[in-house]
Amino acid sequence: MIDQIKTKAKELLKTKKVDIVIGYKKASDRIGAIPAFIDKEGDIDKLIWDGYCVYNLSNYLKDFPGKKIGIVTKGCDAKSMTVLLQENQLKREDIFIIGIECSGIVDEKRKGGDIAYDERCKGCKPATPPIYDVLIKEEEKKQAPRLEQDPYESVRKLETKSIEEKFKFWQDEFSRCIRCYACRQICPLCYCPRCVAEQTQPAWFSKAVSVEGNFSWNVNRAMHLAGRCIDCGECERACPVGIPLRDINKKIEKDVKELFSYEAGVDTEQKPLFSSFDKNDPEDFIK
Amino acid sequence: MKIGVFVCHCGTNIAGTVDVERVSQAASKFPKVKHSASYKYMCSNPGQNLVKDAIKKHKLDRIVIASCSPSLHEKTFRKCVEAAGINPYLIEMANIREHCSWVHKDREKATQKAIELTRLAVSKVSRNKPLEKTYTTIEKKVLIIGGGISGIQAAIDIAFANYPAVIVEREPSIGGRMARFDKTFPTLDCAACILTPKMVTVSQSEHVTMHTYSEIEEVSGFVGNFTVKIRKKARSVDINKCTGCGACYNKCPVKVPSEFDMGLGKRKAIYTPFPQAVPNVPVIDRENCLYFKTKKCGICKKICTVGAIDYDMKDEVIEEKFGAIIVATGFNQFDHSVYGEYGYGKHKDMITGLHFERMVNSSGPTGGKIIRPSDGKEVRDVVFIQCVGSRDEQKGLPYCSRLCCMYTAKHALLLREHNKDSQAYVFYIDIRAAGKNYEEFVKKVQDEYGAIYLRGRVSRIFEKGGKLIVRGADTLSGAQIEIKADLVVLATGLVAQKDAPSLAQMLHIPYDKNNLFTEAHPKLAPVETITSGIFLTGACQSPKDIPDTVATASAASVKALGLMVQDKLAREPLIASVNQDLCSGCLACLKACPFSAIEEDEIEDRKLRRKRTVAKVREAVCTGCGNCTAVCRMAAIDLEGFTNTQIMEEVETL
Repeated sequence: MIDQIKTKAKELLKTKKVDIVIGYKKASDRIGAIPAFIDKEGDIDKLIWDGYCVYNLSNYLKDFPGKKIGIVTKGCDAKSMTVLLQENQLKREDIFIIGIECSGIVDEKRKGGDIAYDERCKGCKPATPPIYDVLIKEEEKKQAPRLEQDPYESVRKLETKSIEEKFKFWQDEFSRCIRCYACRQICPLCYCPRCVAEQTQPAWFSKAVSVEGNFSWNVNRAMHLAGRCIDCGECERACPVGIPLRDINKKIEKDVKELFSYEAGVDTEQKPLFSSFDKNDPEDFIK
Repeated sequence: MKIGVFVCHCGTNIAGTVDVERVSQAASKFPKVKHSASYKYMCSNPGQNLVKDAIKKHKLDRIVIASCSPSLHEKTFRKCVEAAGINPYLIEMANIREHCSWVHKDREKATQKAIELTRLAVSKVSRNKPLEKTYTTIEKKVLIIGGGISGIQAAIDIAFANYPAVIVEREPSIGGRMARFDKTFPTLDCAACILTPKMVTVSQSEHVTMHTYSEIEEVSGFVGNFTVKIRKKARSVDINKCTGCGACYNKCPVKVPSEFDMGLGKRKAIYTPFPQAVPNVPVIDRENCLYFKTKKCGICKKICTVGAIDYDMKDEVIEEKFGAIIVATGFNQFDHSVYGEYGYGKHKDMITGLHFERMVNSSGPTGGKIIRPSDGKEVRDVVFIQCVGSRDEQKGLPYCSRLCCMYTAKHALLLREHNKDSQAYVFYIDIRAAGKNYEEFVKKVQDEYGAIYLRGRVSRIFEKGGKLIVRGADTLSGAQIEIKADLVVLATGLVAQKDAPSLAQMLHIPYDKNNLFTEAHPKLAPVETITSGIFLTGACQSPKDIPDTVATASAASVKALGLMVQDKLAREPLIASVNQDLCSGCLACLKACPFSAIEEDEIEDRKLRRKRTVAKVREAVCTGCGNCTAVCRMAAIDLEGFTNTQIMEEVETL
């Protein structure tokens, strides 16, 4: 499999089809994987592929404006490219997607010390990227068992709480937020030239670490991803204080699906959720 | 900054529930407020003078009026402060009537809320900026959607004032529903005799262009400058060559049920819907035409001496600009098949009022004979049932269709006139004959034409021995009634056209739960819509008879002509603008804008040292609806009059 990736990367660089290939390489701890930016054929052997290739590399696409990029992409991460294309942030002709039909990645938090498959992967059925230029498949024996798991299990659990309990829960979680904005920096879909968190005219919410400011920031971040988040899980992974950010994202994803039958990242041609009006949209809130 | 606050009593409308004096006193203590006062009717002349005098006396530079909805009097007060030398956009209105006094009962709480609403308006106005109106030109042409009596009358009125009108009608001929009617109540003049001259007037007018067999495809723009795409469906007959001789449809071998005759008669595959059609040019129904089905036949083409038949004709989409639009799309009939008691629409000898109109018409499919569709025999006993669909919240329509009482009375009269031995029975709930000479007409039908009126509902209709047995109750005598009828005529209600919602969405005009188009104000703006430059006439707004339809058509025309005679149109400066430095170029706004008022632009990004795409507002097209600001995550779009700063100021104050 890795040979196929290397061969393709080599071909792309050699034929000057791309200027740079973004993939994964071993981290200095010899276990983890970090992004690799390969622009010389000689460096191609650094590329790796294994279950530690966790990062959503599409976040790095914006760092190479005007360049042709080849990018190694898991099924889930390709969805974020779909959204970026939909939102006019990428030109399809500028990127060559080496799509990986992956068999799941490790859970970085390594719950209980085991190297287990990530939560997200368990609910992920055909992990084929929605868009790609070449598709590389995992060998069959390495295919992870796909469990029939409810992707909204933790959301449903949260939904059973009362409004007061929910408020208390999130207040406790957000109270740990140190406003480092790692969640924003890592998110491939947070590309605004100037984030609302940093605007001053008007100042939308407090920039200080405070209950109100933290609440506003986290809710703002999540709402700005409504109908866009493709659940790559990078925000939660990057959060240094362990706020379960995916739970908010998933709740909104679930609502969007149930209310508007809308799923982010599956089609570059579909109108963004909030820019589209359908006469069948629910209007239960109008009394 | 010196803000003045003026609190209106609105008679007892506000003062009845809200302690206006306390609101005024509380407001005087708000930051930056220099003066506050209350008055019985702030919108009256003395009220406005109070504002003007206070501006001069206290050197006020911003004004808050705590009164009714801005949609009612914002313009009034803009003018008022302008006369006193303040920029008209330096005012805000606190709606303490619709949003407060009218919806609350508790005086104390309502007063508290009114104080808060006024507080918000004061903080908002502190962030207002002086704005200037812009001006645009007006396209001096009126689009009329629908070529029934409504659209025809509107076209005549517009043309009379020497302005061009364009009628778009989806049927092959203008004339609409009225062309199908036999006689018209209460004077019994023949519908064709009074309609046809109007159709001819329209067709001969140098100011009127007709696009029949055409539909509206797309509408963009705004008052004075609408751009409309019109799909001219392929008629397969060249309208410029055809002489209307009729040889083609005389020879056409295909016969299908005629839509114009409600399926009671037949028409050919190439046809004009009725003899007086305007334009008198046939159309080929491609679904049934042998040539289109099998590529054989072609008789019409062979027989046409002027070579008008064109099988290769394609739909043509034309684009035209208009200054105003009159919507005259009319109505549809209620589908009575939902009623089990009437046999779910399965009985052959049960027809609707519109069928009866065609049958009783001497140029109709039966030549004026009132017959049973099942065996063609002439009828004797006819049961008319009123309120079919109308006034039935469970299965039908919540509203009264207004004309069924009258047309049923007319039918009963015509029945007797056509057949002296016949007997009409009318089941009704109430007789609603409110119109000039209407009540007299119904009386006449009852007294002189012997129609038997039975007050009550029909419980069941079934076939027995070749007759329809109608069972019902006469609630006045308390008796159960059973009538052996030859024919049952249902006075089905009037409903909106099936595609009314999609047209409304295209035009950006609201419609109600019955899909009827909503007027701007039910009493004071009955032919306007809230989208300026778009007017309503006829039954697309609510069921109307011919006199009302014609009256609203002329009313809508006057409104459209009012625009036509203007040199230029003032545009509100309350529109959106993009801060391109903040814009990420995701173009969500472009997709969200219902008016196509946002376009792509390119800027040189100094930080990234490259060009990038951003959004830009086409100022002349923007209506200030605010959709774009709501979808913009970067808060890069600001709407004048509702700027981010203004709204945040309000939120912070709350």
